[in-house]
Amino acid sequence: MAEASGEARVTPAGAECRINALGNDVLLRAISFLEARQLVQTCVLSRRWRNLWRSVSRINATHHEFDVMVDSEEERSVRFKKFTNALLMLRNPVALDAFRLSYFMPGYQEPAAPHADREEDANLWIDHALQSNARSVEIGVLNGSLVLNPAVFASNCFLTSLQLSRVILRRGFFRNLQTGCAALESLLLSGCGIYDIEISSETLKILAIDDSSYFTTDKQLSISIPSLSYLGFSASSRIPLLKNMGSLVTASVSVSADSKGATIDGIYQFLRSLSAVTNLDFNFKGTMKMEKNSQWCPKFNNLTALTLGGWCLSADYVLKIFLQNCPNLVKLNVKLEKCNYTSQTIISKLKGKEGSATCENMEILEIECSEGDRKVLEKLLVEGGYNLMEC
Amino acid sequence: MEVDKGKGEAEETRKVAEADRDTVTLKSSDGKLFEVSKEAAARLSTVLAGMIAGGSIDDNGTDLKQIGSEALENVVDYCNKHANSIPSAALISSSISFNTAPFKEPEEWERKFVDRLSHDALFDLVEAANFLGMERLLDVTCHKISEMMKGKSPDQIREVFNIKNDYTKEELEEIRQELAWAFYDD
Repeated sequence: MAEASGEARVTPAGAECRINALGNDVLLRAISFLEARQLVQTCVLSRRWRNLWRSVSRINATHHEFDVMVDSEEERSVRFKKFTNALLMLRNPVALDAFRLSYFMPGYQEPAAPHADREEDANLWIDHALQSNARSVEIGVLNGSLVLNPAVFASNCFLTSLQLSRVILRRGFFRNLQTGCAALESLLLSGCGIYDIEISSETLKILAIDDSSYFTTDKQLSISIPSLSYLGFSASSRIPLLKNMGSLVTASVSVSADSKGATIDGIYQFLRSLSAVTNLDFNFKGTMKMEKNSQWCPKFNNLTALTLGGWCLSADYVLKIFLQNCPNLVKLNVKLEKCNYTSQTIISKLKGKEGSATCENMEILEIECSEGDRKVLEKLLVEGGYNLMEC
Repeated sequence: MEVDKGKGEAEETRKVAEADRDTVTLKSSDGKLFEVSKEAAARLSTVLAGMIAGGSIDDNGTDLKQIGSEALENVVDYCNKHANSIPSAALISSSISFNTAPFKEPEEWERKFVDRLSHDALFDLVEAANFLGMERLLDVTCHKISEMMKGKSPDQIREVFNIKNDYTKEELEEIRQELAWAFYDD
């Protein structure tokens, strides 16, 4: 028996049942980590478990829990819909702390009707979760993408954290979020299509829009969030206009030179709105056309940690100008995709003409590099007088 | 530079210690004494925080009659590990990932910490964490319990946790029919 189960620590027969001795609160906490279908199925374990599933405060509804049962995608979806509807309907009206939905959408080559129905279902469930006081909502979509109805977010809710993946955000989403979700602190978007061009909030502290997200317009995006402390932005779009970023501490941004309007002035405006941060990871995609006259680079007086991509070595002066404008820099990290620079080159780019280091306070220099001989690089850097931190 | 920083912190700690003890002593049900950082205890346990703030901490060992020495040792161990694993401010901000939901998945060291526990030690620790109001430790240990159930059939779960099936066949059939939307016949 013990061998068959494969469990290293199976309770010996006759031992007491520790799990049933736990209080309901603790037991509920444990089973709330289960995926939703297995959660409901715990009801058959023993009488003690019969109705526990009805009171969990975390729901993790995943389409793939129905994968193994039938071959037809249509049938799987019917079952998942039935399941999720019943679960939300029959659970006790306890506040929902977290709602997570892993959904499946058919591809666009398939007929339109199932799209509309499935979108309506998902939007209803999200609405239900928000009406059940959910603080955290996480939506992930496989295959196709899901169009969210902005109206779902317009009525008052307790949401503090929203994470969306492969979701289409129609125009008005961000405005509704601002009025309905007055406690929202964290918004993470991955692979999302975004119709709005204005993102403003009085409450967000964390905003991240990843590089698989896109904006549907080529108008300039404006972001205005005075409460924001972390900004991650690498979506393909024109360089956004950042306004009211007074609380920003950390920014991880990637902008593209190929996008329209990436002028020296545009880059300056963009960097200047980030110039109060202490941590900056700045990546510039495309060819550098930054001038030697350093007018594109504002002073970063608070900056202590700076990460730059290999592009900063593309012209002699870029890295130097950056460092000249970061008087308090402690740590510099250069991420190279390819090691086609010798470390002597890097060092010479770091140093002024007289051979003195540009940043007095700099303690750590990291070179990250996915190809090439890192050890040789490090050795040379140490010889050049830089401390290296193992990473 | 790292060494200098460490020295600075050690001096700070000593200064604090001169003014006030920076650890608390906890006594298990079987009379063993354990010392834990006051800061970590107050940060991780609402009950200990309340006792420290309310002055009900006994220098000779605060009695925790509900917690055995093995569980208390794990609690203290967890507090110490937690105190040591706090990343620097720079690391926190550079590692903000797509995981800022209210519940954060257990970190690598937390997984290892619960994985090495025997079945009984895990449940003792769940109960201790619950008693002491240690939200994070309770989440991490409860998460471990859920992992022990994950993907298993009801029979397998009963076996792992030694749960006695006290339903009649008829009752089970009734439940399966009532909640057919969650079962189907698979």
